[in-house]
Amino acid sequence: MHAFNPSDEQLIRRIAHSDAEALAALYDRYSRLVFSLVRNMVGNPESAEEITLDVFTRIWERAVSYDVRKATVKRWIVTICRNRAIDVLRRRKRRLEGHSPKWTDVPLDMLADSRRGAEPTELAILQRQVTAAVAKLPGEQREVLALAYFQGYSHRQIAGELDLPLGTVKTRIRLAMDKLRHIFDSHKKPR
Amino acid sequence: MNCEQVRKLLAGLVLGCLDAEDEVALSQHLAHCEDCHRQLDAWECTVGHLALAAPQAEPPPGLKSELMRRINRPTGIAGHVAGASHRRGGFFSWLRPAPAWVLAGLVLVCVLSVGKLFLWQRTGLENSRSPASLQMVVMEGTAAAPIADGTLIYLPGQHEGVLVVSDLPALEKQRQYQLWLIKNSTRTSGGSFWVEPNGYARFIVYSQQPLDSYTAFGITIEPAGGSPAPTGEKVLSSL
Ligand SMILES: [Zn+2]
Repeated sequence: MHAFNPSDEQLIRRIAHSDAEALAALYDRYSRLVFSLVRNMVGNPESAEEITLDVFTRIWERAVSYDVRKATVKRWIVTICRNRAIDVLRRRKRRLEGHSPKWTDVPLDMLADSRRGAEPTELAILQRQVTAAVAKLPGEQREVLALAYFQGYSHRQIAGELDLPLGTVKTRIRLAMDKLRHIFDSHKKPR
Repeated sequence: MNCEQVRKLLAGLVLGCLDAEDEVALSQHLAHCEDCHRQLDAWECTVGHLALAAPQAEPPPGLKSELMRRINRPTGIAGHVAGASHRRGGFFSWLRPAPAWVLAGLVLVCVLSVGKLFLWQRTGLENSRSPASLQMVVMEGTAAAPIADGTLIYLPGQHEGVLVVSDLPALEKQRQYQLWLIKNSTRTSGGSFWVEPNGYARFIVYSQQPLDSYTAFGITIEPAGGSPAPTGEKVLSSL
């Protein structure tokens, strides 16, 4: 849309050459995603701030090792986030500490909103699609998926946490993921 | 496990929520089944999207300037050390306990990268039945091999361990990688090895003293057969 708007890959390449301006631009693009994700994972805002700084510092230090063949920039960043946040969670005795990770609720006017306001970014459009897809899952599937994704729990740990049979947990995760993949695949447009 | 059973668990693998026994069975299957392996990418794409569905929260306004301040710290040895200790939360934290199945399940490392092993290792295994005594040392690639990864796994008090490396450049026959066990700035050879064309290698390390008595580990490029002391470029380092 904007020819002068550098791609994620271009920013990472500049960051690999210690270009601080490129890191600032990447921060503007992804800090909200990073902060929202880790905040939902660890619960308290102070840890979320520290992890967010840590994630971007790692991006700064490790941009040279980013490999476009292995993952998109977004996926690479999200993997760093989850690794760092799960590290923090593992150090806690009990992970949840009264905090329960949630999926965001879709405001009903979200789609209407996108038709009026300013041109939404590619990330914002994708965000709406993903949010809507997750919202369509039955509550029991959303619950187990949240424990797996945001808390890094295994099937068995989820079963223990929710007092469910192991097979039920496995089935719910599989059904949820099958459905999401199906929805995402149908949104995918050829590049 | 047959293909049908494997397909049912692939999403869990990419989510990182499999228990150890499923994970090992799955990776054994994936090592031989190209069809199932091909499915992984689509799942990674799906899982990659999930982050977008977390409730939105705005990072505090001061955070960006704090980041810019951090990355503008002095470079050179002092800055590097400060950065490294911040990153890992202290000198000894790179020695992290690993679950016992890591050794048993090392077969899975044959198929997947070390980085992925970490994701799994960090995921959902804190109540592992391991005595939490296995130690894992992470090695990071230097400027000479920036995308390389290495991991050394051993039991305290033992004279042998397993080294796994990935993404090291393949070498010609006359040269080999050599592992160095470092203690009080003395470097003892931990063995020499070549990597496969894809940069992967796994080998058993034997040491004179228990592996946990060394303070650091490094890998250099040496003439084939190894050198009595490091002479070549360092490619992986635990510090
Ligand atoms: Zn198969």
